[in-house]
Amino acid sequence: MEALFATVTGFLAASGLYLALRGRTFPVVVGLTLLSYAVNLFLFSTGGLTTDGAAVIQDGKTHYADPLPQALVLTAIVIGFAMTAFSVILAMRVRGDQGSDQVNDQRGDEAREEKS
Amino acid sequence: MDFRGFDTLGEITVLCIAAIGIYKLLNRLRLFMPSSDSEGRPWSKDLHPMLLATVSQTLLPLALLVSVFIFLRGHNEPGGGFIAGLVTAVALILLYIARGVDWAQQRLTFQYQPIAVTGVVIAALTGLGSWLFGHNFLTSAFGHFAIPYIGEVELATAMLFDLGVYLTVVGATLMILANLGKLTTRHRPSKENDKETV
Repeated sequence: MEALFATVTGFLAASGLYLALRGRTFPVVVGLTLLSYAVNLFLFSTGGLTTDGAAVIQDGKTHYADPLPQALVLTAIVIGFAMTAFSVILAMRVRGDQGSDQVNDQRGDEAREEKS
Repeated sequence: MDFRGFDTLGEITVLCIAAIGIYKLLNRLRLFMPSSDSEGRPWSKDLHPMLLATVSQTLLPLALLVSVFIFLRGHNEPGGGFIAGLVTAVALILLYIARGVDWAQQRLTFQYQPIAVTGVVIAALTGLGSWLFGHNFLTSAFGHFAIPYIGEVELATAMLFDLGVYLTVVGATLMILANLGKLTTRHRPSKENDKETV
């Protein structure tokens, strides 16, 4: 269970980092999203992985999952949601203004030089 | 609810700031809109299929009912203002998708920015209100009231906080998605909307 969890987290983080270093805005946005998933999973695992534990307090249950990482990761997911939305729109704005989705934006530089 | 409300307060503040930032980013944004797909085929003329339009309108009251249920349930069980707000926002966004911006704009005439900001203010004031009674920030007062025909109901100031969360989530989500959808229409978020020839 732990090995699988660690592999998945590592794979997501590696894919996210690779995509975030790409040259166009769309892979960068997808990469940031994957990276935030990896961080969420990592935060979730900080309390240790509990198998068969109840998430909410119920009568007759004695075995519970650690609630603190759950609360942490819930907040992280929401912040990640807001950040993803913002970066998507930022990428769109760049595409609309510069006419190019290159991250280091050579075409935009040329256009600006022509203008000035 | 006590200090555990802090994270939610932070969440809705971030969400509201992100939504306002996105609203400003979309201001006067123009995107190239192709009239056909990559292989030269024109887009479908049937923009708003009847099936989705009918289903979405039937779905709206049901979704609102579910969101009220989740909202009220959230006090003692899983649920709450955040997810109730998301359910409401999804139902309204479905209207936009099914009927188009023009149709939805005529019926949803209110602005989303004030709703989101009001939500944050309500939530923060609820938290501050507990100081007036000498308690810690975000301490919740609650009591049991007997309401005629309904029976005994537990009312808490946490519900007021949840209402703020609900309003923020609805306002912020709609502010992001509805304004994004309006980009290619004449309701495009822009200060010179009136002067522009469309």
